[in-house]
This record gives sequence, structure tokens and C-alpha cells, in this order.
Amino acid sequence: MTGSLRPEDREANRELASLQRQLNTLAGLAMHSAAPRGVRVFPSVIISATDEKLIVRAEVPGMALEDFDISVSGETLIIQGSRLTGEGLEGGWYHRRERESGGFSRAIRLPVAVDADAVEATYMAGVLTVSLPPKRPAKPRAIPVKVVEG
Amino acid sequence: MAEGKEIAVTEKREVDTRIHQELRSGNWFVPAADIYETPDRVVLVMDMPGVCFDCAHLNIVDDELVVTGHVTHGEDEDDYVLYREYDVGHYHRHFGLPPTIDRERIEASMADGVLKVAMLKVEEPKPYRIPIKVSE
Repeated sequence: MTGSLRPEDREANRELASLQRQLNTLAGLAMHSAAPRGVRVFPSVIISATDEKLIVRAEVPGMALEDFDISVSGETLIIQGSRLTGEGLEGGWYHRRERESGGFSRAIRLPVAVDADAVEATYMAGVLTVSLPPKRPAKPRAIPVKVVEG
Repeated sequence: MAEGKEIAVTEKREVDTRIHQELRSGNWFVPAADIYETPDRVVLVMDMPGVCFDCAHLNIVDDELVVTGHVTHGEDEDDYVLYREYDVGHYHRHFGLPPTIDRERIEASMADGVLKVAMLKVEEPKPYRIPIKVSE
């Protein structure tokens, strides 16, 4: 088929193919720029700060505080757990299933080192709140200077 | 983990304010919902994190179940946000009610940001057999 094309048709074909490649490149770029949102790990978080502490929040409805496994080491906060939906089906059948079910594990790098012993977590209305006071810098110890007479 | 399946991140779906003009102010999201049916009921389960039990409202308007939840937990306005992956907002969604649902027997409960609505089905009228006598 291609062999029977007139030279001007072949030229047009080449241009079309070139346009197609350019479009693909553009589409690839668009997909690439959207990727960081797509590869995120559950749960999504909001990290905020007050004068005294860092606060990490996540919306994980339908759990209990005991279902979370939260640990801190240095500047890393790890939130793990599993949320299972569809347990109380009572022998029924689904018409619609949108609520995500499964396990999750997320490590979050914090902007400062935190005091692991003072970390507190609360769970209210499906929102997990972890408050993390920063590690206090070692206080400079004042060394009294004695006056030595002599 | 328990199921061997990891939860995927899903973006919150925003309410279309071109349709729901009354929801123009503030952030409004469509809550993720599961709907299942058992022999005697239809159960609707919705994720509405940040909504306490007395901030959720259910109304029946023209054969539609209208769900609204006002978020009360989830963000402190005084905090300085360093990093944000999701927006906090209220929830709104409509569900068409089939005629098989008994409007008088809908029960709702809320715990840990999950609203569960149990709707009993209308009891089907049992066929009544009319005895036929032999006429002499």
C-alpha cells in the first residue's frame, strides 16, 4: 500500500507521523506533571505547626485509635494500620462500593526532629491527629565562676 | 497487611456548585458511599471524616434522600499549614429512593466519621388465598 503512494502523499504521511509524535510527547509531559499526585500514599495528610508543636492530620474514617500503629524515630513519623469496609454486610450484596478497604503504611519525613516520648495521638470523628513537640535543644549549662581570692 | 491490599489514595470529589447553588460558600465534597442490600433492608454507608454525629443531617425531599454533613473536626484555623495533601470541607449527596423503601422506617447512626443509614423495605403484601366453596 505504502509503496503505491505518490511522493506528495508520502510527505503528508511523514508530517502526520511527526505531528502524532509531538502530540504523544505533550501528552506524556502532561501525565508526568500529574504523576506526583497519583503516586501518593494513603492516608493523605496535612502537616501544620503551632508555637509548641507540629501537627499531622489524616482523614481515616471508620477506625479506632487502637487500629493505628504509630511510631516516631528522629524526624520520621510512621502511620500504619488497616481499614476494612464491608464487614457488616449481613449476608447482603453490594450495589455500590466506593469506600476503600485495605492496609496502609506511610512514613512521613518531618521538618524537625521531635521528642518521641511526648508524641500524642487522638482520633475524633474519623480524623487522626498526631501532635509532635520538637526535641528541645540541650540547654546550655551555666557554669558558675568562683572568685578565687589570692 | 490484613487483606494484602493497600489502600489507594483517592481524591475527594467536589460537589458541582453549578447544580447546587446553595452550596457556593465553603468547600463541599461528595462523600464516598457503599450501598448494600439484604433481604429486608438497604444500607447506605458513607465516609464523612470530620463530621460529628450531631452535625450530619438527613432529609427526604421529593423521593430523594439528601445527606449533608458539616465538618467540625479536621483543621484548626490558628495552625500554620506547612504541607497539605487534602482540603477539609463539608459533605453533600443525593440518593434517589426507590418505592420499595419504607419512608417511615429509616434509621441512621454515626460513629468515627462514618454515617450508616439503614432503610427497611416495604413489607410485600402476602397473597391471601380465598377459599372456594363448592356451591350446591
